[in-house]
Amino acid sequence: MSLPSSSAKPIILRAEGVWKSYDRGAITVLNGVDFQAFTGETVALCGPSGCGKSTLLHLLGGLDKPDRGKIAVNGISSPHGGDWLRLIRHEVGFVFQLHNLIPDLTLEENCLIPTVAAGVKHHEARARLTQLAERSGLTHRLNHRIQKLSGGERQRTALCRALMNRPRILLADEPTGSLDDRTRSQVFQMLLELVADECVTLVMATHDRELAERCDRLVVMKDGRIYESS
Amino acid sequence: MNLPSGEPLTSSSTARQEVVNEGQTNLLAVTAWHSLAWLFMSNSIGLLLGTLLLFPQLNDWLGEWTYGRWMPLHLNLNLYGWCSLPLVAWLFQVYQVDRQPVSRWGRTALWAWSTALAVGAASWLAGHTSGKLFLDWQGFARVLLVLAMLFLWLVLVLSFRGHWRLDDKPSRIQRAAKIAGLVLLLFVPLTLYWAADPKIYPPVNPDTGGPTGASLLESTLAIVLILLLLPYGLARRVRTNRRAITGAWIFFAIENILCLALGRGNSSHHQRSEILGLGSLLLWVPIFPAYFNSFEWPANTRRWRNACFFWWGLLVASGWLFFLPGLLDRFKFTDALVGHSHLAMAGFVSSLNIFLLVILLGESGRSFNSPRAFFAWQAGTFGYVILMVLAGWLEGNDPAFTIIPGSGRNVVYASRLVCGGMMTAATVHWWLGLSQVVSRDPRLQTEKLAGNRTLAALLPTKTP
Repeated sequence: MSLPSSSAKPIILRAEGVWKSYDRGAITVLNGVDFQAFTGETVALCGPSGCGKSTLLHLLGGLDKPDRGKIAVNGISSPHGGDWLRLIRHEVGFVFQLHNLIPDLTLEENCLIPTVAAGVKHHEARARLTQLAERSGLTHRLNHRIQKLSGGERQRTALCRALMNRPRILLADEPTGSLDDRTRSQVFQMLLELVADECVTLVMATHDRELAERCDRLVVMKDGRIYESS
Repeated sequence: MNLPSGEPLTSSSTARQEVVNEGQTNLLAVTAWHSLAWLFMSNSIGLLLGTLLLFPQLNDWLGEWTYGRWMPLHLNLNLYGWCSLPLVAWLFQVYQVDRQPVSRWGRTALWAWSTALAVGAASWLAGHTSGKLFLDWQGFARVLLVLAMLFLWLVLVLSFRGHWRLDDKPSRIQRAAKIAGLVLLLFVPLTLYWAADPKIYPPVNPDTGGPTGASLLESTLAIVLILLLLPYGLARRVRTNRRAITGAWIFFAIENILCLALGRGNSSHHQRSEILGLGSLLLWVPIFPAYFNSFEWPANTRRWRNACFFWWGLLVASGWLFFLPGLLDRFKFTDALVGHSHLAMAGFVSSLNIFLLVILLGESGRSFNSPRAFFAWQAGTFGYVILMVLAGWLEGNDPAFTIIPGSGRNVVYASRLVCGGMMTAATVHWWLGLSQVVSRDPRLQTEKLAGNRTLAALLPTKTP
């Protein structure tokens, strides 16, 4: 497989010869994956279950470490200690399939948590939340607990939370996987609009070929390798 | 050490007595020094954690070593360093390791323990954690701690054997009790290794969602047994007051029968038998002071003894109250758990440990006599526990109270940091005091010089 080699945009995210296995090598998930994403593009990672899409996203987002190989964000690669981690924390947002919100907290509180860790001033964080809530149609739900929200609203909340600290890269693991057809299309449209407005690079794992084809680039994975990139 | 009756005080026996005293003070003082070193490290990490809660953005500068990585260190260094090693000093005293040629191996055992804990600390910092509170040992560190404990056990066995061969043989009852103790102690490392495996039993009982009254009663009775045994080998009984001792042991036997009758595992805390069973521990609140008053203690231990009983009473009463159905539902569970753990470890166990160290160290433990350090520690602990209960209640009503910035949250976190600072200041005072004693006391220096003389002097003297 050959990676897209020429582009006017700089590379913002890169994986080089990444290997990952679990259970002390008994289950190999990634077999020397090479991947790159360019600034501002939207990339869909497709492939059957167990092909390594989620694992690759976790490695790209610093949620796990590769056994071998390098992950580079904005030119700084993974075994670079504190600088790389700081970059990951500030430049990368993550949306999970099952949203991973705290059910006892309100929508507003859930979205404010990452800003506390990042040391963003409270009034700035609230202003940012107001802006994102308006864009995603959640303003009337700000003070509602997560338990009271619908599936689509929860996923939109997760998206807002991921964008609160203005990341340059958004990694989304099956962000619409748990939604019905109509809601899925709405949430995905909103996701594309938001990343376009904010100039965010999106790398998204999905089973849905139809949604994947609406991205700038489609990367197909099979048996822990990049099989096709178009 | 008691000299054999009728033996004239010859120059060789005097020399032996001196060396024995030197070795004794030295091993116990060094054990206390290790304990305080771990307490200092644990408290310093506690201060770091408190600062990170107040200013979470500082995590950015710590690379991978953020709040979550330091948390297990704070708990485990306290539990396996500070809370455990004074009891090891007590074992050294009971098995007279400090009076034997094997005392040097006692030091090695102590260093092995501390090394295992340091390896454990490195593994927790590297992110290896089983998630099993209080038993968070995995991989190499888990094996190393067990080996260190087994080595300590071997030293105790050798010391007991050597003591038996020497001139002051223990009585038959003492011997039987010490053998039983050794058998019991052998199970500690083996049980720890077994129980540290996350597959053996999960941190939370999947059937009940938490511990039952019977299991809490069972684990508390283990602590009661330690408290009942503690005076032996440390103090003499008051001849006129033996009823309290007999009564305490009889009640302990009844409690064990009760515990067996209650069973364990799947009972709910809504069951009256569980509530009454755990509530029976409340009777130990008045029993323990009476029991300990049946022994003779040095005058300078009174303050720490009373503090120990105060915390014990609060621990048992609050533990039982929170067990009652409905009450804990109004508090955030983790806050209540942390508050209870501080009450147990910083309040009760720490006071008990210092009480123990004051007796074991004698004049060498004079830094523990400072009233300022005593009150700093006690006030810091009390303030911390109250703040945890307050935060638990506030978070029970508003789950975001300590997450989202606000003046209330900042006041609670800042106050907790101040309490931690008071406790750390007291620790520094004790540790520095003991460091001076260890480094300056000429009696403590002599063991290094004596070296082989220790062994030679302890060998039985030939009489013509």
